[in-house]
Amino acid sequence: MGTILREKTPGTGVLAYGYEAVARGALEADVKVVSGYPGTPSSGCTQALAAVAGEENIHVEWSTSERVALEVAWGAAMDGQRSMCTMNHLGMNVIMDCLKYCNNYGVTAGMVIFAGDDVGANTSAIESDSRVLASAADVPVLCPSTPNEARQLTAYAFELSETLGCPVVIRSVCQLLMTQSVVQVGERRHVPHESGFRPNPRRVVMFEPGTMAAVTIHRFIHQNLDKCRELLSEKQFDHIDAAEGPTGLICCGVCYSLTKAALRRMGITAPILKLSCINPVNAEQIASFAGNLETLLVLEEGEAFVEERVAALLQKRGMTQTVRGRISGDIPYGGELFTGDLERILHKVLLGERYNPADGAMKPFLSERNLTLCAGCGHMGVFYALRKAMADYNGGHYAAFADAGCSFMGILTPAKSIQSATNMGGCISFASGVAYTADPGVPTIALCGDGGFLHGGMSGLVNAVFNKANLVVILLDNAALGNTGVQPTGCTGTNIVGSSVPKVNLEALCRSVGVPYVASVDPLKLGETKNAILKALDAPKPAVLVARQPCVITRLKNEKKAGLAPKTAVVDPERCQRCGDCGELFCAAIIRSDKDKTTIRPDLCSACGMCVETCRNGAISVVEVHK
Amino acid sequence: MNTFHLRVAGIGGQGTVHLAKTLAAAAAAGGIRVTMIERPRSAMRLGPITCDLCFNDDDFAPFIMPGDADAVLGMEPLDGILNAEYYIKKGGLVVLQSVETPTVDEFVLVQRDSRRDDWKQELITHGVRVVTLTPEGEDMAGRNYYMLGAFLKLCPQLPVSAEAVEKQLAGQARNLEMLRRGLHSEA
Repeated sequence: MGTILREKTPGTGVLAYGYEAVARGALEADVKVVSGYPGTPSSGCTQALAAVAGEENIHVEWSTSERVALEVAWGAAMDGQRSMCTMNHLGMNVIMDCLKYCNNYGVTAGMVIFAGDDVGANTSAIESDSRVLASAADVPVLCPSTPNEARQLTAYAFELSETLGCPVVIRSVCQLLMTQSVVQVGERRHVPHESGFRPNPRRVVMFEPGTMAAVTIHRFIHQNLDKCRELLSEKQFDHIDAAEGPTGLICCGVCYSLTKAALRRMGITAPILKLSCINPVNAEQIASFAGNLETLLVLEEGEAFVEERVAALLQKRGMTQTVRGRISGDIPYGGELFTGDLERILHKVLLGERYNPADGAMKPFLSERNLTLCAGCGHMGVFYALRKAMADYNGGHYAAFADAGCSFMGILTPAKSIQSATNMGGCISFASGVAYTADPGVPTIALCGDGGFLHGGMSGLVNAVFNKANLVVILLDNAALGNTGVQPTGCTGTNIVGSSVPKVNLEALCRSVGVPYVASVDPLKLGETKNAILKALDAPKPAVLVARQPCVITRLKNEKKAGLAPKTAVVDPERCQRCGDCGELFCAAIIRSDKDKTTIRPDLCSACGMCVETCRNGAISVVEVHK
Repeated sequence: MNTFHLRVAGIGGQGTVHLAKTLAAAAAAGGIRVTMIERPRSAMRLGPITCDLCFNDDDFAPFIMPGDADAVLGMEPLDGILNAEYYIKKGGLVVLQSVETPTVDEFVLVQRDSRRDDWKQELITHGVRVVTLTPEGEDMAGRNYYMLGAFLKLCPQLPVSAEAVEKQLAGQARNLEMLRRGLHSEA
């Protein structure tokens, strides 16, 4: 990673992901501080910049939450250094509180928020459109149509931010950011900036005599958006591809590239207005494009954001063109728009024909394999022990909730150890709410990862203590944000640039906020974990149990690095009675059969030893793998 | 130059993305226009992974359309079959690794998915050539490059040469060795 960031000759083409193109754009604009929170498809941008942080003398960090990341970037921008804040679409929800303040009080140096939207929720629990959220905070939004444009727009966004004195959002989606293609690099600029906190004397201090009142600032921000529109129209990132036809296509971001591909496949043309400047949209250009057209079809990923604006401005100007898109029912809400979807939509709207682009397929695409926990994951041990403990405690009646990290896997088949999952760290306060009114005989349990706990869970735990919530909190401390790519957390001991940092002592932290019972356990020891859960159930509440075991992906990497001989669990067929006890772990390395004795796949097994403990017949042992 | 669309379907932990990146880098180094999109999934091992590689396409449209893949390389047979039935074009090439990794449903139900066995007829009817290989090697990632080597041998239409791929694997002794074993296999 990092080749595109190290390329020195402008105009050179380098194979790079879309998120690396964004990182390159930031570097070309002389970014000095980068803060982010992991989430596909944005994580790679921060990681790419971290890989060159030392040689470029820039500060790069994974922050403990998106909101913290924005606050860090804002502070840096107010100190005169260009900064960037990165997150996925879920993070945009988290930053809204700070974003409103940031836009009200402004920035001194350029500040860019890079929002990677996982449209289609490929790795996320929910879909969300960052354009809508940024617009709610009156922040300008730019959406690139190609990886090359992602680099250009990111570099320009810093300039725009500095000119307007407000943050600017670069929003893109998986189809662009997770694609490798050849990107032409631009020139690196040195932007001289003086360090030193220099607040805007009219905007930054609330309630100070002589400063703008909130209402005045709000009006100023809207004037700023008008100014933004003028600046963007001069840049000509938006343009019209002229063609004959009564229906014009307004294509936003990556939909422009995909639509061109669809039209080429169909062998037809149509007038296209390509929009990369999404908030504010260029009303004059849209009105001019609409001109003598009869219909406008708006193609965009996410909500009907531009479609609504186009319809409103046509109505305001007394124009009678029909606007089609999601609101008209031509495009469904939710999910990504693939080239095939666009072909189907274009066939219907441009040609009035029904067309099924999946005609080429022999069969409909059937469900892919479901996700499961990695073989040897400590969470697997907690879920197993929880089920066993609760069966002994009251016959298995309990309510358990996880958050958005790997712990949500407990909700899935086959383990079904938890009932629901929440936002990052939200499970503790959610479980508190359940516990206030729950049947006292049905324990309430929150299972929160270390990442989620440090993100938003801590305040929930303080709230649980403060309000005497009758619940057990199990902190699944794997010292990583496993689900998003095993990024470090405050519990890891190293940060994104590899510096050693103190680990957060979760037990001490919990005690310091008044938790009356705190214990810890290694979740790979199933019996001990079961007993620890039973003890916590009978302890004063809220009780916290820290289940600590490094993420198995980290463990295997470290073992390989240390040159340790690979190990695996093996089953002695003489002793295996096919009782199925090991199967209750739901470990993917354990291969059971209705005919044969159980076996264990050495290439999948991580030699955690949990299955050894489950086997009543002593048939399983851990041995070194001999190649 | 002729376009070529390849879907690589595998499971987390095999190094499917690494393999696709190697192919993309080999193409780009030879001046071939290429896009490679990885279908993002959670980082957990054993989940589904797909990568689409489009060579010599005029437009930026990185996902392959249904029925438009010239070849499917399946690193796990069931995942390969499901992808092939949806994405392969008539007369295309499907190369499947024979080593099965149970799905969640299979290991819970302790029952083999019947789709593993009832796929052949559709593909054969559509003139698709299907090759199933049992790769050498103990580790998942090593088997991956064996499969790529065999695939390069079976698919001369792919606009990337074995030499170009070998160059990209300089310094990766194990992967290079497995690639060469695949290239010299009986595939």
